[in-house]
Amino acid sequence: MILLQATQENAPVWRTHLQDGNQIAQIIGTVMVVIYVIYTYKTFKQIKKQTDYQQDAYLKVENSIVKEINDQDPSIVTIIDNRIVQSKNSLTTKYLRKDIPQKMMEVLKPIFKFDDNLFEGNLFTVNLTNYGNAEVNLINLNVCLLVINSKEVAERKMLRERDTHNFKVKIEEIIGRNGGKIKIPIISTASFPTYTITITGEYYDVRNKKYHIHESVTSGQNEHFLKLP
Amino acid sequence: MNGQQLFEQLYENLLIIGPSEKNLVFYNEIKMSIFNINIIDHFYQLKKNDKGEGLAFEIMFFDNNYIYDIVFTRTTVDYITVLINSVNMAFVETNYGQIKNEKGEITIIDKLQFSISYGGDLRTLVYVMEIKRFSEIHRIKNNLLNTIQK
Repeated sequence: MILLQATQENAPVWRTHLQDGNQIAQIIGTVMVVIYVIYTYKTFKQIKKQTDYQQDAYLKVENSIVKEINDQDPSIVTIIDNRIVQSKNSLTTKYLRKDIPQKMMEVLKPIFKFDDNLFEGNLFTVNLTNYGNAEVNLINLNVCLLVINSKEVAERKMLRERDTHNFKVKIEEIIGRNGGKIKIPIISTASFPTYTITITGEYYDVRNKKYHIHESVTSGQNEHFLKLP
Repeated sequence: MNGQQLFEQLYENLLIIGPSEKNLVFYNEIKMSIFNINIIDHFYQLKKNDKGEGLAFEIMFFDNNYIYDIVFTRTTVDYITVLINSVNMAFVETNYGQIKNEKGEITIIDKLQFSISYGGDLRTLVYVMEIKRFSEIHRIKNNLLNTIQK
């Protein structure tokens, strides 16, 4: 009798604990399921991203100054199969902006009286290398060119101290995947006393997917244009 | 004209290339060392620096015994002396014309090359400049050959 009474009094307590435990386990189970779902979603997303990356183009843009394009120089030869053949420089001039250096030369030549060839060359060139897995077929560059005359030249020859030119270059060339390279001369810097060239832009792969080109800045100086003769 | 006078005359051209302090010292040292040289003919030019950025100042002159070829850049000096009797050929080559590219833009080629071969065909002093200096170079070539003949 005493035992039955005790059982009847204690039963709700352990049952309550059991029910509480069961509820906690259900909550934990639900949380685990949610975590599993999120983890799986993220994993698949990452796999998709990796797969996409494997199909993407990746263009590395480096800037350099090339002294000359020698394709018109008949004295440059290379030896191929024990034969001397005239060397052909692979640099194209079809994207070369000529009017700005020409104007600058017209301004500075009467002042400095150097030979023409000292106002030519030193070409700002973009070196494009495609390390990705898709061919690139279009590159749009936004070029910002800042030309600065020295104070002495600007003041005594009534020139503007600084000039900014913004222009776009649309490069329609195929750059092969996995290391395809191309060098594009953009503008001659030989006639600029001091210059800063900033480049941004975008490029497209053969699937027409767009990628951005991060800003890069190149500066230089031609010291012989800084002091008046 | 002696060597020292020539170097004094050309000093302003050296300053255009913005030489280092050390190169100014070298220029003066060379100037002093060629005091006794009676120059028969000479030429000089500012050209693009083959070794780096900026300009180079190139001087060539000769007397009865030697040809001197000196090139100053902002940071370097190249000083070649060639025995005049070892010269076996002087060669003036010109190229003047126009080339049209695929866009129809015209590029003017304007080049004069003066080569002096000495001590065998493989050793050559080469000077490249614009064609407007042909008469000057032609004169130098003739004077050089006349000096060798003597």
